[in-house]
Amino acid sequence: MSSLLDRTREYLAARQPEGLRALAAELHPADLADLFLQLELPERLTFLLLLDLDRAAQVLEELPDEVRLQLLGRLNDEEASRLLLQMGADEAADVLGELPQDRLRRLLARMGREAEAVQELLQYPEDTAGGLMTTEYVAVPDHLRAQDALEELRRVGQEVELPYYVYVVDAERRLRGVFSLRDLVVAPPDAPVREIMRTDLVTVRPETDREEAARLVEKYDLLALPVCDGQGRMLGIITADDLLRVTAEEGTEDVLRLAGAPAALAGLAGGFPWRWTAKRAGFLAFNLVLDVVAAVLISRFESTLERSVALAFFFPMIAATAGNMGTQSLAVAVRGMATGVLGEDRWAAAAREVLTGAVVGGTCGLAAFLFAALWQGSLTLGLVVGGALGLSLVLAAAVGMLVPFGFAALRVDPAVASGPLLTTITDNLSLGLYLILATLVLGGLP
Amino acid sequence: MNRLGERLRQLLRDPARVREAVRDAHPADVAEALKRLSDPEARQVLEALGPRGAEVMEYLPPERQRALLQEVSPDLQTEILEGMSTDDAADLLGSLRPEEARTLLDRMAPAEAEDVRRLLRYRPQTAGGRMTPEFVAVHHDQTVAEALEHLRRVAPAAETVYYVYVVDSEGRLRGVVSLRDLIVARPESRVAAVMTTRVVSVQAEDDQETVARLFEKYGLLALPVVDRVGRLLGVVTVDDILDVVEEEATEDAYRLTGLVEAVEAERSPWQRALRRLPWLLALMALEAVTARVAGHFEHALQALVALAFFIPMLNDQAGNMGIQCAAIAVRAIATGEVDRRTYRAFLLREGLVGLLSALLSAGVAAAIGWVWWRDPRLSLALAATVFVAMNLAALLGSLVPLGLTLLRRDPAVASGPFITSLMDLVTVTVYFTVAVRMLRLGG
Repeated sequence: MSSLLDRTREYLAARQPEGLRALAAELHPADLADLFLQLELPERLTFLLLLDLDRAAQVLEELPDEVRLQLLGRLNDEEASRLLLQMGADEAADVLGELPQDRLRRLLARMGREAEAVQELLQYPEDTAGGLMTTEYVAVPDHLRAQDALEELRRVGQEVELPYYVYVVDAERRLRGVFSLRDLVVAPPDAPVREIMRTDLVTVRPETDREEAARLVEKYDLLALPVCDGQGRMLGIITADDLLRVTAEEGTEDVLRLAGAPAALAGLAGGFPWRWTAKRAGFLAFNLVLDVVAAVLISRFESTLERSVALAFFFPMIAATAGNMGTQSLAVAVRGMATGVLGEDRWAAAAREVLTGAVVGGTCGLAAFLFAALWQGSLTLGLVVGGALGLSLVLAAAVGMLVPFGFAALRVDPAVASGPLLTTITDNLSLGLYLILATLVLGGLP
Repeated sequence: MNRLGERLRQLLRDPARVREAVRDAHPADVAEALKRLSDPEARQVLEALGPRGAEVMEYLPPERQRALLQEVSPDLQTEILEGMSTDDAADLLGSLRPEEARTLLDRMAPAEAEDVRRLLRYRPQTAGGRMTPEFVAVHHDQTVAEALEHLRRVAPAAETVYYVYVVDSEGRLRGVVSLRDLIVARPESRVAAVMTTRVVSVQAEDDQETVARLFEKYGLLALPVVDRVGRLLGVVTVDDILDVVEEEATEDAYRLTGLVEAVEAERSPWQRALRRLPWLLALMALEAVTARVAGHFEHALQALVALAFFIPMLNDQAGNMGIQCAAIAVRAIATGEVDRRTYRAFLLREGLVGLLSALLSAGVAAAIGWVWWRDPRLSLALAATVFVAMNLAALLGSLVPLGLTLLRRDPAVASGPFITSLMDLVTVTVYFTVAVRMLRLGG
């Protein structure tokens, strides 16, 4: 890999397009993009401009969003629009959607007729089926015969990314059926396409959430999912390989969210990720301020604490165990929703999790009771610690399930329901419960 | 979907009407309906469906497949196993007791049983375990017309005909050609002339995560699996990998929070509680040590109760930093961002992020102490604890997953709660040492 990088740098320094192009021809676009990411920004620009246009567009398609934006910022309108024209309409729309309005309009104007498809895609939010679909697919009229369809495929096959499925549409472009290339190849040449197509279609609307689209592709084991409007007219397709990336991305997002980290990983290539770091550090500092609530809460019970300062020894144990239970429930809820395991019976799932919390709480509460009572030689203190810990776990299980469900029901971005936010809540609930119980049993309070 | 389940339940006594009811339904939807029926009810549906039942079985979760297979008659067992695609049949048989699997294999048609046996040799979570032997391969000397003719003959059996693989006389993988390319090419040209030789492949022993990364990176629909000398053994398809990616993310999320089982949602509360308890109790033991440490400073606490107010806040802060770093390390390992080549750069970056985050939070902590208490010593104690604990947490959070990976263990194994509890101990110790021993607060 390093020798490849060295060679690339030599060609770049010498401005030798032939060498670069030969080197690029040997690599898969994804590998070429990896190589590209090891270069510095000025080198990247030179590289992009020296490559063949279609090769450069392929590299651009493989690059992370921020890198693409940075590059486009440095290219003039002429260079940028030529590259965008070479890219797939869905990829071009992704890039253009991130640009400032005036630049977007200038580039679209330069792209001419091709801009129509892109403009159509631009209207859909990124996390919907419309935002993920491509308009490059093959659809044939429903009155054709197999051999005409094959002829049609030969004609368009060169341009279209993946005609594995061929869609059949009527005169109004309403989707009527689908057949695979395999079906076509094995069909008698004079069979009407209407006879070889399957009609048990699975489709989505453009506004459908992309997680839902991923679930359908997974459930029905599809290679591509057609996107249709309210009248059943075909708008585009979503391919399984794009959805695979979505699924992986969303898995990462869920895990990071549970830990209160930014929703995406920063790559190791390129410079130090300042903005990403600022997000991480900012989140933690913000959470510290939230935690002051717990400190204020405890200070309200100063007189109780003064009577028995030993109560404070158990703060970490109670808060941590409740926090653990809460984040476990959160993980069950978040991944359950993402994979569709929980289904429609969310309340039943929540009830079962709370019951789990009760069993766990009973056992852990007993353990805490034994520890506190034996160590401090006080049955009362043991009961307060064990009782509070046990009850907190039930509460934590309920909160861990209900917070993400609640956000989903309110259509609030569930990213807010992070693990750290949850532990802040369980801290306050468990310690509040603990100190109230202590005050009732041991006396105190103004 | 619900309705189909209800309809089927009412029609159970009438096999013909059951067949009629599911005729136009997708097998995945029939499977969905079966999930709502009891095992004996589902058996009746499968009996009515006959060979079509095999297709439905493929869409059921593994435990249910196993239960239903044991429910149906021996004849239907064989019929279902032969009808399922070879990789699914192998997965199902592999989950049974060995002698049970052997009996069933002996009853299957010899050719199909042989295909399944070959797959059973590979461990389930490898490329070999995930592949199907139902692919189309042509010889590189064949013409495009011959290849298409071959395809017509074998296509109905093969699961994945979007790529046609090209092999030499020894069965070694030479290239790949898409169906599109074959259709578009001139019939008399040789396959070798239209194929791509730059073909991404994996070895049968490769881990399924490696396979998933390749699918993501190259945007593939299918990936050929070869043996050590490059002979084509089978093909892994994108739909199987989609499941792998989803399972893995769930596993990471669960393990990171101290959960063990990936099918958590399907178990009873008792079972779930039993699985979680050992870890939670072990962590409580660690928290008991923390309590003992705090106990050493009882006098100082008695003199200045306010010291106790900040314990949960400090614990939380260090724990959050640790979990954040652990999650980032776990997913960076899972997505292939971090490996033997890049782990130094990764640690360096995370260390720097930890340092900057600790500085910012220490500043905030000092401000909190000052605004509330107007005591520079308390401010200093809070800031120092936050700073030390967060740096340690960042280090520990990144190192634990990396270390577990080096030991060939799952990097996510309960990293989160373990790091949090360990950090509780560190935080309390540092806090009291700085505040009481060094700054004489409460003394």
